[in-house]
Amino acid sequence: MSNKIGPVYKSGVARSTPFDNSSNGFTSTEVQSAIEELQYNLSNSASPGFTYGRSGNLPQSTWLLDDTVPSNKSGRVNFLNNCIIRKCFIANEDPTIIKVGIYTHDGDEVNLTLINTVTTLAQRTNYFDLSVPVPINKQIAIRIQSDSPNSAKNMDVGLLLQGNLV
Amino acid sequence: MLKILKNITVVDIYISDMGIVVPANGSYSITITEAPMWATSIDVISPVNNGDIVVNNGLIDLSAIDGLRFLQYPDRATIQKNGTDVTEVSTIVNFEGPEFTVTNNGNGKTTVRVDALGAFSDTMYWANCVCHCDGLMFSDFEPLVDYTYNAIKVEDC
Repeated sequence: MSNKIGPVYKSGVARSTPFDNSSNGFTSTEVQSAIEELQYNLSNSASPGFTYGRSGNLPQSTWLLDDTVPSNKSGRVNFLNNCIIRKCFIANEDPTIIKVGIYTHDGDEVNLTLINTVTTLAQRTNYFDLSVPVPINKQIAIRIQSDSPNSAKNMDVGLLLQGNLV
Repeated sequence: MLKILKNITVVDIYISDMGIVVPANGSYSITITEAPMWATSIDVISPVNNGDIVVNNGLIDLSAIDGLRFLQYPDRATIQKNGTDVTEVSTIVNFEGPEFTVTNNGNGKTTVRVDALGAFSDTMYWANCVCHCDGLMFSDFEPLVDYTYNAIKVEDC
């Protein structure tokens, strides 16, 4: 039997209480640091949403605009660490099936990479649950895919990102 | 005013800086909100110049040089002759969209002047339009130097 005595805490309730981190993504092994870890994560996490759009009739292969700029030229910069695209929401004037591509690049289509596609139902409003990682500092662009069954019209596409500020 | 790009080839044409593909044997209509963007497009110049894309104003197909001017300059508002809005059919045979035809009945040279904020300049400008005089296209226009103009004045000289 060991005679080893653990540390003595002034008010040791939380710090001396074990915390099971095997199934929740925490690194902490006791409650005090788990709470601190949670507080840190809460204050440094972000879930911004961005939209892309373009007016008029939009044939296949059209890039949507990020604000007023074609997103293949200058897309939305991902500034989050461990960024995941969680949601994609799409509005199209006509209730038609549209295939939309989500791309990353380094600006001006350099290292352009298709990271995900979604295909709408034949309805004006669609949204999708996604889990698509995006490297930090990449620009995100949206395109109506060349093999989309239909062209689009006055389309808006939104992305909800989730990640850490630091 | 319509601004339509017609791809007369059998392959898609990608206008990279506009993020648009004009489909093979198809067309793309430029919306009013995007017209200023297209005015600065570099990537549209080559396919228009080489004839793969034809610019249409809703009425006719424009030549390459007129098509590019039509894309690069905004739409003007009014046409006047000698200070009044043009209504004389004998003077303006046709004015629709970016094209108008001036007939001066052989009475000397017809000039087209561009108005900026109500003060007509003495300099003739090419002003985002296709102008014909007695069936001939004007050839003595100086380059448009400022596309803030909002009116065109037509005079018989």
